[in-house]
Amino acid sequence: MSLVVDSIVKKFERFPALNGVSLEAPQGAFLALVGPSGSGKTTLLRILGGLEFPDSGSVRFADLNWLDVPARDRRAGFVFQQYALFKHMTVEKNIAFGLTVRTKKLRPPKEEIARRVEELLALVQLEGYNKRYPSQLSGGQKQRVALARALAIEPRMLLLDEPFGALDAKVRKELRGWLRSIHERMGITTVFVTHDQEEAFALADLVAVMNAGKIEQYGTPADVRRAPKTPFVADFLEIHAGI
Amino acid sequence: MRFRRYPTQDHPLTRIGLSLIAIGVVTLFLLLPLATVFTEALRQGFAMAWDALKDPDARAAVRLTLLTAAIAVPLNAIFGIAASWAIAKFDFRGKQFLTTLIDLPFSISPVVSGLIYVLIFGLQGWFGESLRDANIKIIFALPGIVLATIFVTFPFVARELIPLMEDQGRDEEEAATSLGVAGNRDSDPQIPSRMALRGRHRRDAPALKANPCLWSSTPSSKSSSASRR
Ligand SMILES: Nc1ncnc2c1ncn2[C@@H]1O[C@H](COP(=O)(O)OP(=O)(O)OP(=O)(O)O)[C@@H](O)[C@H]1O
Ligand SMILES: [Mg+2]
Repeated sequence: MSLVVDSIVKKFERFPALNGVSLEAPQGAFLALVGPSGSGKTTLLRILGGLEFPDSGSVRFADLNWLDVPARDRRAGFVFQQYALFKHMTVEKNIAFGLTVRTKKLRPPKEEIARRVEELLALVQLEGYNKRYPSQLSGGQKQRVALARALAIEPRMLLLDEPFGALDAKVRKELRGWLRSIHERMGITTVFVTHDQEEAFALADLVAVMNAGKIEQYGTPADVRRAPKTPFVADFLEIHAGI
Repeated sequence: MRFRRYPTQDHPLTRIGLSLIAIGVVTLFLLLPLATVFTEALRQGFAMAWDALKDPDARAAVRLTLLTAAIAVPLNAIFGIAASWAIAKFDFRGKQFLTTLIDLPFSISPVVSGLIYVLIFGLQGWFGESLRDANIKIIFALPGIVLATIFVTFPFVARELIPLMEDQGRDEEEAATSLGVAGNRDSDPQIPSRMALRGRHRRDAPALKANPCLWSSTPSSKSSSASRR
């Protein structure tokens, strides 16, 4: 069930957003994508989620040709930068959504869904928020609902696009530790996009430093720190270490 | 204290001046004509006005208006929703063209569209003779009035919906897809151009099929400058 991304190229019009991206990660890995704005992080994540298709290259995951699996069948839990919660649904409806839309054959019974929603609310520490609407939540709470919604479908892969981007440093730290513990408990292969290299290095097993549609360096946080492969990576680490 | 204003608030004189101009225009061009209609209609009392409504001609006029609306409104709602869905949610070739077409009724004078209408369906027009031979009456008949009304009012639905749909964005739809909702986004990555032609996914095939109706909807002989912007 490892993830193998091989030579992905994706062009918008003529502009290459991804220019030959390859990486491998073992099952259950926590992988961070870092890099400057416009380097292609979101594009890669969307390809993994099936929301975008590459012009060439391949992805293997769960022993499947992942690109042939339609987005709806991938069971890839996607947490969007802008939350993308369903505004017209309560928190519990949002979380249950991925289960209630299943065909009758695959849909768990009502009580089971309700039980799972409660479990997830407890997990994201939002017990008692069942009947709230997204507009009645703070940014961090919305983020956690979005995560619970993604987890409800028992994802095979968790994709997070700068999930803590809009939050202040303190809440970020809190959620970060908590995300890591969820990952440890569930062991879902997780790809995490962030601007914040400190966050990436603190959280991830593997870090990919991206620049202009390419991966400059890929390895464990310790390796990347110790031996930056290119001047770009060294620069990137330095600039961001200063902040 | 006396001069405390919000930073974005204008000087009181500016505000009063602008308000007066706005009120003046609304009164002159909207309220006065409306008031005139009522005063003229009721000049000789309610009973007289009521009697006038019993006149067969008046009744036919009312019936015709209602019938036209009953046909035009649902059709415009369907085409309008289909077109705005296609424009707001998908990228395809000719999108800009479609947007322009939708605005066309606003930019063409109804007099001109009426003329074109006569040129196409009138006796001397393109289809005039064959229509007459087939005994189909379009111009100066119900079909013509309905077509004209649809043409003139077409942009209203789409113009309201497109900004709303664009504002909602595709995020929630993408979230729904990743949560397993079927029917969203084509799963075949190999045919982006065909997807573009089809409007990217199956569901808007009807939208694009419906659109030719927009192009063939026909301008009117009856020109009502009131419905122009
Ligand atoms: N739909 C699109 N159409 C055209 N160009 C796009 C599109 N999506 C992304 N791009 C371009 O592809 C490049 C990579 O974009 P991407 O969103 O992957 O960057 P990113 O690394 O996530 O940046 P950020 O950190 O700012 O979110 C950018 O230069 C962007 O302008
Ligand atoms: Mg991004």
